[in-house]
Parts: sequence; C-alpha cells; structure tokens
Amino acid sequence: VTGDQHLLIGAYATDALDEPERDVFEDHLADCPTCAAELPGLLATAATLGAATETDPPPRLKQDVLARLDSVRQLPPLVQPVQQLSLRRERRSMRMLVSVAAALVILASVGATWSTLRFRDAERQQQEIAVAQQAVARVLAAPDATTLKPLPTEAAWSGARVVMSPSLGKAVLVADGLAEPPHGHTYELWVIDDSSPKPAGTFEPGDDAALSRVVEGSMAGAKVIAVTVEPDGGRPTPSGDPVATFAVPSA
Amino acid sequence: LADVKPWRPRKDTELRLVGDAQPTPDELLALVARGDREAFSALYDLAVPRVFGIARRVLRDPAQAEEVTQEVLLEVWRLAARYDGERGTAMSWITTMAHRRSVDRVRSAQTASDREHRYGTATSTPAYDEVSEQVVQRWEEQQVRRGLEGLTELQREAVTLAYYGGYTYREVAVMLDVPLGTVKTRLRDGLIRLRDTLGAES
Repeated sequence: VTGDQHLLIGAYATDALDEPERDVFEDHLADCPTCAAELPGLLATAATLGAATETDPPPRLKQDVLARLDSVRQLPPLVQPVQQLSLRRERRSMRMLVSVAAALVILASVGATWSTLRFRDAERQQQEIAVAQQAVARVLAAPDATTLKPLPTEAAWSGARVVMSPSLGKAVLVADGLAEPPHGHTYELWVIDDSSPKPAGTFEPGDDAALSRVVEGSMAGAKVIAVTVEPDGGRPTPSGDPVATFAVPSA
Repeated sequence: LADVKPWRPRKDTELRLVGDAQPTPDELLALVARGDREAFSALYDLAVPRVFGIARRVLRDPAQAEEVTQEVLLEVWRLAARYDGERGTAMSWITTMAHRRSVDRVRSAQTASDREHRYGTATSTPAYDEVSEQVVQRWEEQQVRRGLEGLTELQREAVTLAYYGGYTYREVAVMLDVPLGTVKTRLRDGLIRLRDTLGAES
C-alpha cells in the first residue's frame, strides 16, 4: 500500500483524492521526504493551471468580504504548537504501535536465529541476543521514532525500513525477504554525514531472511544511512554503490 | 484587554504601501497576518480574479462561486499568520486553497444524480476545450495552453478533468475508461511535465 502512495502525489496536488485518501496521503507526506520535497513544485504547477482561469467577480463582492473581516478572528501564528505536537505524537505513536508490533513479530521470528551475532558460547550468545533485542525494541518504541523508506531501489530492498529515534540517537534497520549476499560477502551499514561514510556494522539475513539490526555508532549529523555489499568481515570504507539508501530528514 | 485600540499599521508598513513599487502578494500577506486591512484590500485585488476564476470553473454556478470566493478570502484573512513561505508562494497558497474549497464544495453539495447529469453532459475534455476557446491574451493562459498541448492526450485529459473539472481520480478513471493506476500515473507524470514546461512560477 505504501509504495502506492508516492504515485498519488499528482492526484493529491490536483485535489483528485477523496477525503479519506487525502488524509492517508497526508500521513504519508509527513513521513516521506521525497514526496514532501516534490509537492511544492507540483502545487505551484497546479496553481498555474488555476491562473489561466482568472475572471473578475462582481465588484460588490469586495465590499461584502471587507465588511465581514470584523467577524473573523485571525488565528495566531504557530509559535507554540504544543497541542499540535501532542496530537501529532499521538497519531504517530499509533502508527508506531503498528510498526512496533510488526517488528516484534519479526524479532520473535529472528530470536534464535539472530544471524548477525556469532558467538561460540551459547549462553553468551543468548545474552547478546537479548541485549541486541532490547536495543532494537528501545528504538522502535521511542516516542519520536520515525520510519524511513529507502530511496527507489531494487525490489528486494524496497520493503526495508530504517526506524530512527533522534532523541536516542539510534537507528534500526528492519527488513524481510532479503537475498543472501554473494558467497564470501556480507552486507555492511554506513552512516554518512558531511564527511566520509562511517561503518555501522555488518549483517546477513540468515535463514528466515527477517532481520532487525541496530545501526552502530553515532547518528549525530547523519544525512544518509546506506547499505553496501562488502567482502566478509566488512570494510572500513564502502567499495561499491549502495544496495539501499535512506535519507535522514534534517532535524 | 481594556485598552485595546483600533489597530493602526506601523510606520514602516505604511511606508511600504505607498510609493510606486507594488508590494508582492507575499509581502502583503505578511502584513495581513498582523491585521492590516489596507494590505488585505490590496491582496484581495491581486488574488480575487484567480480565486473566483477557479471557483467558477470548478463549480460552474456563479452564485456558488461567489460564496466560495468569499469563504476563501476570509480564510486568507483568518489563516494569514499560518502561511508558511517554505512551502510555496502566497499566490500558490491562496490558489491551492481556492481549488481545494471549490472541489470540496462541488463534492459535498452535489447529489449523485447531479453528478451523473454533469457527467452525462461532459464531453471528453470539457475544461480543456474551454481553455482553448478563450481568447488567449494573458501570459499565464498562453503558458498553460502551451503546457497542456505538450502533454500526451491521456495526461491532458486526466489533468484537465481532475483540476478544472474537480473530479476524483477514481471518477476520471471511469470517465476515460482506463485503469485507476493509469490515472494516478498520468496525473503525476502529466503534472511533472507541466512543471518542467511552465517553470512552476506562481
């Protein structure tokens, strides 16, 4: 469903969506930097279509409007949008509950096959898994958690999401149905700010291909989170083009 | 609140409204946000032909178009302080509001049978024909006409029915007898092509 939302931007800009669909798209807009960036230009284009219709109304209309100004209270600017924020957070947290629920299902299924962590000692492995799961759960449950979609990419990666929490400074990659990297290779995460990409951990999908992986390192100043295919063990710098790229919205 | 006085424009704003340089809609809107009636009056003159034009095009009925025009301009007054210049020009903001209002009115006010009637009398590209028929004197109209001519037939039909006709993309799909996905796509790539030809000014 969500992949479809991008396509609706033309219908949205021309007001060709029914109200319920409009609401859904506006929710999508809040979470989709690509659409949010594209929309102003399309609205301006639609407005130009409107400009071609210019017609003078009867002159008396102006007097009517001016006479009614007194009865209309002007809204203040949004200087302290406290209420709005909390409303927004509620809506967001509802949505997050859904993602968290989905992620917990994935977590449960990942559980024993936590393939990104490999330890000889079974007990220690269990502990590490528990810690990693907690870290993932904390990010997913953070009140300010935001879901990022990958920039257009191959189908296998289009369902992957990065959930990030600016307040925790942490992000998690959640994916399902990923292909195994080529033999002798692994996926590697990168956090990219204004300088060079920083390695943020390697992972492999494992048996059931469902995965949630904490993006390691600091997210401060992060602009992009990317995934590349690297030789086993990972590399300090990426050697090829990313298989998935997530744009981090600026704070 | 006891000593509320009638609001007077500040000195600098008064200065900005006299003289030869025409204030832009954006500048006027900023003044309107502070309750400046003179600025509102000037902004009204700049914006009302477009608001009324859109309302008439979408609603057809002049009386309803006048009502919507009044509503939109009062909304401009009410919401001026909420306008966010990051998301487009003042004219684009007002135009978007005018179109949204007109479309909402047409959809809520019209009964299903009205719509059927409208649909029954609609030719394949009613709005576009009207655009073409009009004496094209103004720059915007020429631009828009040229832009629409640069679209594929399906793009043009979808965009004109949606924007000028006020139909939903679901209705447009039925009217043009094409799949929903096709209408979505044509509206999007049609608008993008228009944006690239029109330069997306105003």
